Amino acid sequence: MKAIVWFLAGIVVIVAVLFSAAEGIGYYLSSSAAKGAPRLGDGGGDLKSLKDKNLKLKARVDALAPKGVNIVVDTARNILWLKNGSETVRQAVVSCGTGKKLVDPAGKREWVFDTPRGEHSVQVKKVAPDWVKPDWAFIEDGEPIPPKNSTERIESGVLGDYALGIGNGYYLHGTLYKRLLGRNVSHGCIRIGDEDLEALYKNVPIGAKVTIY
Amino acid sequence: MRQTISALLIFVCLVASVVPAVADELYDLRKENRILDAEFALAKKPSIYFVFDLDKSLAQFRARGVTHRELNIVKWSAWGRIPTLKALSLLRKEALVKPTIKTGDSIADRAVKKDAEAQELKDMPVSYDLFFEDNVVMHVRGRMEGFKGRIADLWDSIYWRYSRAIITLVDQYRKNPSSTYIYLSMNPEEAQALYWAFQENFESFIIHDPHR
Repeated sequence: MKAIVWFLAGIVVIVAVLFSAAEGIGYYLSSSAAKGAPRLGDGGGDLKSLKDKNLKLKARVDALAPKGVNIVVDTARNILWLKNGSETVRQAVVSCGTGKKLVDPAGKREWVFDTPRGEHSVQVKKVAPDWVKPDWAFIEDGEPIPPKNSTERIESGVLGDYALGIGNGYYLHGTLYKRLLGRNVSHGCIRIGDEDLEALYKNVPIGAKVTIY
Repeated sequence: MRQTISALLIFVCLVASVVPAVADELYDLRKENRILDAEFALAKKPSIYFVFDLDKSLAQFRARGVTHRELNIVKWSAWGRIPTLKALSLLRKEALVKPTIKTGDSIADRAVKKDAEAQELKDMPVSYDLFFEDNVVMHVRGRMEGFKGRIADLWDSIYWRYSRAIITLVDQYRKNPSSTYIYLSMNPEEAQALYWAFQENFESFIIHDPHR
């Protein structure tokens, strides 16, 4: 029994020594690689020219920031900010995409209901918009898919009083399911409460930037 | 004579104090210049990008040079080659427990059903790896509180120390291009927010200056 304990203890010590040696050598190798690397502040240039260059670069970066009315959406927290330049004018609780996947049982198509991240712009503004139901809406309901221009695809009153299109079929629009605002329940569009939607419709011009992350 | 020597000494002291200050300022300006260059390269594109400023312990979501969200990095360590200050695309994310994309079915009452099916921030993993271009790997872990947190910390510390060391040795032996390994410890909700927002092919840059 004693021999087994000593044997196991020996193995533990050997493993610990081997690992420590590996750690030491690995650390030495990685730190010598770090030492050989150029430093972030190495290079040429005199004080004045560098100061000028940096000022110009800063101005070029600042010039890229959205001017005027713009919208920012945090899809994780389901918050929308209406901004004027960098100043927040209004904050709203919204509903963004579920991230759910729908597979068409008949074919090879599939849809992931994510709100598209990135920079977009308002391309169209609509009053009392109708929803032109895409194929996935019928598949989801287990109904046959009507032809492309069929009136069966048109559903009124489900998108609220206004809609702001940001391209590729994605809209900022109203909702019947207000109790779900603040949760990720949409098919990728951004659902907004009535008052906030009206404020957006009235204040956001066509071409305004919409940043979604 | 005494006055001349005193004046000379004062002059030498002044020069000795000014020269390093100018060198420091030059270094900082060059560094700022590189950071601004990297920022401008990403800010001119119409997409979101991420800045990991290890020196300030911050991770930022940005677009067009504007910071939209700032996350605190509680603790970090880096191993291996110093990452170059340039745009790095995210190649993939790997988590032990990946959030599953729930597959929808035919439902009549969509709103009610969706209540249960929504994939939300809380469904995201708190511990995961981000694989970037240029052999940069970032391990992100949400810092847990209490006993569970201490055990996780201990495990991470052991795993991090030895796995990085052994990988460095294997890389050297196989003459693989050197890699950068970065470990970030964050608040769990912020780790989840980073996983949620940082999607594949999104770009980022890492600010890390170990010489400062």
